[in-house]
Amino acid sequence: MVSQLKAYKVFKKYGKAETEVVALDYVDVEISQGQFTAIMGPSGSGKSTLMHTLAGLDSINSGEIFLNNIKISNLSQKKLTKIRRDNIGFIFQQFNLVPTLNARENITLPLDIAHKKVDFEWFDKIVNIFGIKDRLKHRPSELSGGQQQRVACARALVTRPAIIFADEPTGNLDSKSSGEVLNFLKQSVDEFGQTLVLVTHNPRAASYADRVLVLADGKIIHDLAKPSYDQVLQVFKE
Amino acid sequence: MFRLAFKNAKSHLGRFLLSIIAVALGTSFIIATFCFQTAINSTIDSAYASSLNADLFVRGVPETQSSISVSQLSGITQNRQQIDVSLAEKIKELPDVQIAYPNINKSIVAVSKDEKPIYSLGTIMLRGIPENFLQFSGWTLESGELPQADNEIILEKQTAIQGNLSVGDTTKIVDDKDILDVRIAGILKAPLLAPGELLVGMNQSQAEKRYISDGKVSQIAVWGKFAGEKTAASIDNLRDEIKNILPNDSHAEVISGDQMRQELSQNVKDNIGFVNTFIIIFAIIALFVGCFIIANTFSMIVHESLREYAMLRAIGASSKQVFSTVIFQALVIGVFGSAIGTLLGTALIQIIPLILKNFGTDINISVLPNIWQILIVFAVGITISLISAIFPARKAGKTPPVQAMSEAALPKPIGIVRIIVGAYFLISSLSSIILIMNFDYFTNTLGLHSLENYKSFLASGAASGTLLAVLLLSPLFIKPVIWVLSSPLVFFSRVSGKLAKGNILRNFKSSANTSSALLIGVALVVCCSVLASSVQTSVSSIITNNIKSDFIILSQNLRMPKSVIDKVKQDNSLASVNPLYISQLKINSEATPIISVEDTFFKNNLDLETFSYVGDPNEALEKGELIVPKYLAASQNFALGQYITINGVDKDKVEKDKKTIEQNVKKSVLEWAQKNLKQPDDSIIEQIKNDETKKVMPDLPVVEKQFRIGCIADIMVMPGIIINHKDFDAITMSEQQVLFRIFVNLKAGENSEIVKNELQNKVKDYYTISVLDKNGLNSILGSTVNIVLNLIYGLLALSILIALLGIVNTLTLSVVQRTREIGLLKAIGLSNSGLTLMLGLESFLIAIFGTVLGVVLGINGAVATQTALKDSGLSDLTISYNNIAVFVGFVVVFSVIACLLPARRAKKLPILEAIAAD
Ligand SMILES: Nc1ncnc2c1ncn2[C@@H]1O[C@H](COP(=O)(O)OP(=O)(O)OP(=O)(O)O)[C@@H](O)[C@H]1O
Ligand SMILES: [Mg+2]
Repeated sequence: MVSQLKAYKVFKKYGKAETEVVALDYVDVEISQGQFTAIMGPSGSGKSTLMHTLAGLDSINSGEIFLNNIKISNLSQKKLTKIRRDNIGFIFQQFNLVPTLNARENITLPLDIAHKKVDFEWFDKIVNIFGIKDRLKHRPSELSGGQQQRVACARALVTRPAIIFADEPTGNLDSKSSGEVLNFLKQSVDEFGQTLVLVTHNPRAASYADRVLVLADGKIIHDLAKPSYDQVLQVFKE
Repeated sequence: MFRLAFKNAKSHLGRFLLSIIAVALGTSFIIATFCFQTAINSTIDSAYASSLNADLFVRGVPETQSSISVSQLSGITQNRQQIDVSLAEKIKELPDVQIAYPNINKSIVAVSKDEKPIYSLGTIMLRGIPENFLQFSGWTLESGELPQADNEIILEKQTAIQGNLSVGDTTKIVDDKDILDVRIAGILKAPLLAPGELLVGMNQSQAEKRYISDGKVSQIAVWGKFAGEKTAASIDNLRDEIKNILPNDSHAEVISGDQMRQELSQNVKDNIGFVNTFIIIFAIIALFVGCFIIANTFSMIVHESLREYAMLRAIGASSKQVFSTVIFQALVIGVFGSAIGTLLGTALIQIIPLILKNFGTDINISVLPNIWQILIVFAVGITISLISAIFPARKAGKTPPVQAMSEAALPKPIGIVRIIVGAYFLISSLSSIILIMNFDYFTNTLGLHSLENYKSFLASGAASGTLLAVLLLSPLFIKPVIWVLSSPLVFFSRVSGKLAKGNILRNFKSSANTSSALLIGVALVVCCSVLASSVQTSVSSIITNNIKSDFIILSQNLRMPKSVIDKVKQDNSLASVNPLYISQLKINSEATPIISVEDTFFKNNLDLETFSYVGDPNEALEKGELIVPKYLAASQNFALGQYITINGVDKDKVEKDKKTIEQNVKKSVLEWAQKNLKQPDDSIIEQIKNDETKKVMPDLPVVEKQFRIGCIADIMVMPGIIINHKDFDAITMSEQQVLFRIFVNLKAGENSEIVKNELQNKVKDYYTISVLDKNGLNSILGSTVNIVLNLIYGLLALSILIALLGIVNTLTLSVVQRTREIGLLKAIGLSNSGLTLMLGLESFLIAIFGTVLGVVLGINGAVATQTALKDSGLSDLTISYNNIAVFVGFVVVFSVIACLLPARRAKKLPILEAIAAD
């Protein structure tokens, strides 16, 4: 399988001297194309930090990160902005949408920013998958939390990014809506071969994944391929 | 709870600082206006304290109806009697008097080193300087010496600097009699001068010889000898002493120097009353704009905090506690903001002395606000902060927490009271406008004649009413307007345009308020500029349509020496030369301007077809009848064919009396010679002459002459009653006749450029006299309007500047409020330039909304004013779209610049922290 994202000896610390916290402790990781990778681990273990650095949203102290063989770990902000815009999709835990734009405008926003045409066939397909077809004219304030997250997922997919990062996208949702959102994400991986990296605390969500990385104290302590629900639970207990 | 307020403020330091800045901006504007007013008043006050610093003055009592004097003329209404020069000698003999001398003050023209007239705000005054002037006056000699010979003058330092003249230079001065070649003997320094005051000194006895013709002056300056301190009481004592020795028939009174100075500065203040009115209007605008900025920022901030207050309520804080937190914060913001604003405004206004310096005035007055002004500013700053905070805070305290939490997300609707009041203003001012537009219909057809008196009231009401209505209702129509304005932007820059539009409409109320501050300034500037250009075209249409003459010769200080006429007449390419004289004579005991013209004047120079008149002007002139301007006829109830009485000088009697005086003087001189066994010297002859004049002709003999009103006409270029020159000459002394204009026509076939140059060469020596064709006349009138305008523009520019700073503030605040959103946009790939574009468009849309409305309202105000003043001469309405376009362009450019600061802030936001922000 082709590796889409490679990271070598990524080291990241916050603060200085006494308040120093090592968030990533020389992490090596590769993400393959079309794979659904889940990242798990206790709070403060560095999951978000890992995602942010891999996505070029945050700088690292040392190490190297390649996206599609382009080294992104020492690019200028300007170039990074362009790379993020063209290659990376994001879904945050909350506040994913611009309140002044309606759902449709929010979904096409990345295309508008990049001055790209909307591929309507693709657009319809995603909108159908996420079940928000009849909500397109609504403002975010008129949508439920689950619907908002689904719109956010659609937006992340619409540019056909090389890779999507989702940081606890269902953290604020009840189990039903969170199940829906995860299903849709899983579906996009299966149907369109979308590469997805998902941070989650939910063992059920992790069991959908092709691969589960478990972090602790800034280190990857487990790397499980296609774990079953029980395996995931097992890791959780540790 | 205060700790909570403090923590709350600390955690939102950005917002807190921005509201302090808003208060500071608003109050600085107010304090700057106050300081400006103080500066003007104190400059005038302190200036007279030094340049006219005698202890006491003796002057004539106010003129009664029967007496009349030469001084009454010179264009200025000076309604005091002249007093005898000899009184000075008498007063000097008092033991407590150090010196007393006739105060000579003549307006002249002085010529600079490069042969140009020295300009000043007013005219240059020539003073008599007595021998021992330096000992008592407080003035100091900079260089050279006091003037002695009759061709010597001394300059006040400022005049010397302006004219680039130094001791030993020769130059020229022009008075109303002649041109004098003079040598500069020295340079004096006055302790302090009024703005633009320029002074030239001449030896006192020379000045008396030159300017006192009939032994009379208007003032005598007196300095006392005081045993101890000079106090008000000791000056009063001296005043009584002098009063006692004044003869009963001297028509003189004594006043203290302080009183004199006070009267003078009051005079000046009255004269520049329009400046004060303007400043008051300006202060009101300042208050308005200031309040808008403060209230707006506050409502944004409080609105933002509502959710937080709701959270506090939810965890158990009582509504009283929440309320007092808000009030405490508002208080702190009000106090700090006002303090910073006071400093900022005071700093801004320090520019004024620098500007005055350009006009040639060195004023070392520090323009600092006084304690009252500071108190007012603090009161305004704190009150508005409190009011702006109280209403939302009360709401936050009253509504149930959950409801408050969910409501906080929604924009507040516009208050119903606001809509009702706005609608009221809109309807009433619209109906006023309809009324004014169809004024004739209402007054004549419907017979509502009493409306006539309210026309200008209606006009100003309509103009300000629409302004208020739009200010109140602007949140209502900001939505459609922004939709229209932004549609091309959305088309061209999809993302940024769409986002900008959304952001403005989300906070539509505060967007509307922010642009309102700009709206006010723009409306006023546009209104002023339309009115100014209307004045110019109205005047110039009179000039081009009504005047036939090729040239008009006039002087910048109104009065021309009569010798000019002869010089002009020497030119034989001229078909006609018609001089105009003006004089103030009494009609019904009121001084009225009378203009004398030759019989041929109308035929030669005016196109009578273009004027409206009743009676026949030409016939009236030939028959020796009067032509009365319409406005005067209306105010005095004069009718065609009526006889009116003019109080003039009985010249026949004057001639007779003069002969008698001459004979008497001869006799007295002989008697003196016999008695003293020697010939009397000049001063004694002068004394005898004065005594004899006083005996034979104590006042100019008055004659009351009846004239028929032969024509009532509306001739704008002739500001007074027109009379035949022969009749005028019969009732006025030569000194009374002020030559103020000469109308000139060319012979057929002469080249006007060549003749103009010839004429200009002929009057060159008078320095201030210009030969103007119609274009020249237009541009001279235009430049006067422009000077006034520039002052107004300068101050209004300040209001626009502050409004633009208000946009910066609002925008920065909205960047702070949108931290997370901006972080998100950056995360999904909006570049920094896209971000700047978005904020630039927001700023642009807010600015253009305010500017467009301001332009519309400004034009509306100007149209209303023009309609109301149509009959008073403002006949044309000229909207110079070029000026307005330039102006709008200027505002737009600055509004885009205004986005740079908030944009910098937005660019610097780190993505991850922004998204994580609460
Ligand atoms: N901006 C920051 N400044 C200082 N320390 C930080 C910062 N962001 C994260 N950290 C620290 O780095 C470590 C890793 O944080 P990170 O957010 O990656 O954890 P996480 O695994 O995502 O936890 P959670 O499951 O709670 O989201 C933590 O110890 C945290 O305190
Ligand atoms: Mg995290």
